[in-house]
Amino acid sequence: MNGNKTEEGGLGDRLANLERPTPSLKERYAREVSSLLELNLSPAQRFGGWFYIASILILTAVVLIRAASGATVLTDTWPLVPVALAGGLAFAAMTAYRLCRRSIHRLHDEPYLEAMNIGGLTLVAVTVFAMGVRSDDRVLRLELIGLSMLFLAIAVVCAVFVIVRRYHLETRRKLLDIELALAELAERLDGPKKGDDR
Amino acid sequence: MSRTAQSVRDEILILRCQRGEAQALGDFVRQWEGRLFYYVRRLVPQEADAWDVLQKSWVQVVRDIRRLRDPAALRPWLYRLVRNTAISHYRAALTRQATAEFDGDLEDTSANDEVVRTEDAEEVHHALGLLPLPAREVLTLHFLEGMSVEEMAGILDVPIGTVKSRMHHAKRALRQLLTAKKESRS
Repeated sequence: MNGNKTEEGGLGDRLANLERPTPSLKERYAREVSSLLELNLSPAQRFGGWFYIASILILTAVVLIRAASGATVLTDTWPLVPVALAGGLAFAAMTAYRLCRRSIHRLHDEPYLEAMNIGGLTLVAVTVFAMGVRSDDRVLRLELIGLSMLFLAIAVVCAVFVIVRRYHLETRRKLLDIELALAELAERLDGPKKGDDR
Repeated sequence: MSRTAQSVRDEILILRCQRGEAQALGDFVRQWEGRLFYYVRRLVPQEADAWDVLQKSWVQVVRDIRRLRDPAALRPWLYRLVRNTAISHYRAALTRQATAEFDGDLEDTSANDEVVRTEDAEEVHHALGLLPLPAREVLTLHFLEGMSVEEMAGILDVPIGTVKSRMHHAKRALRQLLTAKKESRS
């Protein structure tokens, strides 16, 4: 459009620097943006998290000790006990990770939720499968096993999407790193290009 | 065709945001907030409201940046998002003013690009505040980012001819203001 892009870029920087924000308003904005980017856990949330972790660990210990001593811990719904404990422990591990970081970066929520969704679907699939295997009714057993396969298939598809997306971003990042190195080298040799103003 | 190192760095930053890296969005905000705040201030009369608009814009950026497929489209996307947020904030007053058109024929504005120089920044800054909103907005985008007419048309959601018309009249008005200021000084 124009031939004075570099000059306008310089002008853009100078214009932006001429803006004189009120310090108190800018501080309030900075605090709000900071809380947007990083959501700090409240004391109640931290207490709840540690309480949950302690509970699940105690429950696991009780089950293991009773199983080791030969006591009856496995009921008719025995497959549900290890499945539920495994799910609970996995969730406890993720909770502990968050508590140790003391905050949640909101952008990090999505991978976390993706993992939770895939893990949750798998857990449901395993539970439904276990219930199907235990069922005496042949038709119900087949229905439950079929349903569990459906849940498992959805979990696998979700996992594949997540992995492909991660792989794509990772590959793109590597290519961009190479492109950046080449661009920086070219600029060192030729001097900065026009329009490179930020 | 080679790109500038800065444009590659911009794309890496977007990619880092899309991968969910903790520091990426903070870096992104720091990189863009100065220019975006300048733009918002040209749209919104009250400073406190401008900060609110910018903050609301970041909420949308956090939500939508994963869907940004073409990093080259970042700048128009970002300015359009901020503008829409400002319009939502000031819907009645702002849309009424923003849709007001200048009179006059469409003209190519490329011949008027020498209207200001980099060292005129302070004069331009003050003069922008004296211009009506449509003129102020196109000139701000033009001087702040050196945007093309096509990019501005996308951001303002108006035809390219309208942007050209606004630019032409805005530059003429700005030149008159700058000349008057110089004459009053001398």
